Amino acid sequence: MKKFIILLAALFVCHQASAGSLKTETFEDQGLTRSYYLYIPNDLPAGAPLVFILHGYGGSANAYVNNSSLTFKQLAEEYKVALCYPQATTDPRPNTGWNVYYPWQIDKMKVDDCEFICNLAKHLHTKYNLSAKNTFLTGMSNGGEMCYLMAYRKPKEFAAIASMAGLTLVEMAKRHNYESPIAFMEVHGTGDMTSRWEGDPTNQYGWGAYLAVPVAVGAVAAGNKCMYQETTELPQIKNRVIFHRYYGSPSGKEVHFYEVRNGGHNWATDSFDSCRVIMEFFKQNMTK
Amino acid sequence: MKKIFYILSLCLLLSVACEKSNPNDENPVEVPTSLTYVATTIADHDAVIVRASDFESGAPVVVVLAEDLKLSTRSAEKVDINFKAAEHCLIGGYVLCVIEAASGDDISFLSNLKSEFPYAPKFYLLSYRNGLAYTAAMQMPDAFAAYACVSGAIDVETYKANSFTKPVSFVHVHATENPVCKWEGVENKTVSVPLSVGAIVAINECLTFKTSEVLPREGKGRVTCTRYTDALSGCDVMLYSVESANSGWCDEEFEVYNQIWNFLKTH
Repeated sequence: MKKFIILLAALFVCHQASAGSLKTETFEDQGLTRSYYLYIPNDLPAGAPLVFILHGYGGSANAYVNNSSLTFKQLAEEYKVALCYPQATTDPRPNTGWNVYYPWQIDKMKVDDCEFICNLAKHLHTKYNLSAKNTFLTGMSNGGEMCYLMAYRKPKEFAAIASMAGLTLVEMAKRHNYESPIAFMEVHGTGDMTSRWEGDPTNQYGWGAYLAVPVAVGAVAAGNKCMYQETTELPQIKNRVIFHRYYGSPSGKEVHFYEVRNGGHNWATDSFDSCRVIMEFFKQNMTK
Repeated sequence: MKKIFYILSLCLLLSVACEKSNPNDENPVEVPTSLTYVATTIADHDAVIVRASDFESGAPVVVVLAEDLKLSTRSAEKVDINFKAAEHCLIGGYVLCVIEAASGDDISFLSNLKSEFPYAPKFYLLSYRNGLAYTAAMQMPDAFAAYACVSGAIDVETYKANSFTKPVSFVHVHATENPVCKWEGVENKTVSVPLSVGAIVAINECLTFKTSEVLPREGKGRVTCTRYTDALSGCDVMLYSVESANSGWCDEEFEVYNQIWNFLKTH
């Protein structure tokens, strides 16, 4: 029995040694106190990259931190990156959500979440000695919409952006243009009934009019002036995953598009190791 | 017996009378039966103007930019424009102006083309086996009512030096296994076809797309038409992807001239 307890204790200590620290912090921005989780892996070197992970509409940073199917914390240890999970504010509906120009947010939601994320990034760069030039952004659904909005508005603040099941709302396309090239990735299920593959040009489903997903990704590739493409299929686990790589832009910034055949509105972790693919994409786009 | 004979005679006379009163015979449709070819020079480029023999001066003009057209004889009788597209202008009722040009050519001379056809109400531009329609869409987006490209793609150097600045209506036809101008692009030569089309879809602010199958000719591979629609600019884009290795007009695979003209004429 004693041996068993000692073994358990040893395992616990080992686990603690391999796990980094998870902190809950706040940050004052635009007159609001914003909260976020910060995950710092053990032995994180100075100037390490910073990855923002944005939750979906009605969701929370807490749920993402504790979601075991999202392996970002383990990957952070392996890739030696810090993770930040910010919490969205409550929008006029009222639900927790990022301001991405949903119809009920336009003119009513005052907070500028793109500014918030960028301001928070600067704060964390200074406070934790993290890399300003190797800051990355990912998010799902409403968080994915933030990825597109950030690609329009703040492309120079991020080394790469990866959207999961995200959309380009028509309102974004009307207000902004892709001014600077950005390394961008989209993962999207063709059977996603929430953020529809074929788009919703007439706002039939209530999220506001939005572009078809291939058209939205094509717009980023066009903004980058990508010139060539490769299409390959990943080894099949559940749904078929078709990988479209758009490359050859003068800036060298690529666009990676994972088409999950019949996939739904999720991170597609049952069809491929999407979290690792995202981290690998970020790694490819790190600057020395 | 006499009665039967009279009835039969009457029936025969009536049937002849009915035949003679057929309105089609009284007003036969005037179908042009031949083409006239005029070899000429437009801004130092060899050209051939093809029109129906009973040409009407108010017909629209489809300008085709193509190379290797064997225009060197400069003799209207001997001109061989080397493709069947010419015959389609009889059906479409337009004037075809084929100009010899190659990828990378300066196409600024096209802006003066209207003086060659003073009565033409509309001009369309098609580049065959080169991406000059894309070049024109970048450099002179207001010059043509719509643009088309068959088996060509944007030239890489041109794309590096130019950008799309205004929406244009555009149709592209391409075989997915084209060995010359490859669907996925050729490094340092041509841009991938979907990315070429995608660049125009982006500037046009098309919101969505619809995919449909086009009837292929017997025994030929699948032909898919992707129509990018709901453009905020009002300019739509179409891409015909043809499952074949054809690097030409793809007319062996489907009714390509009809499909292109049906797109162009609505603009």
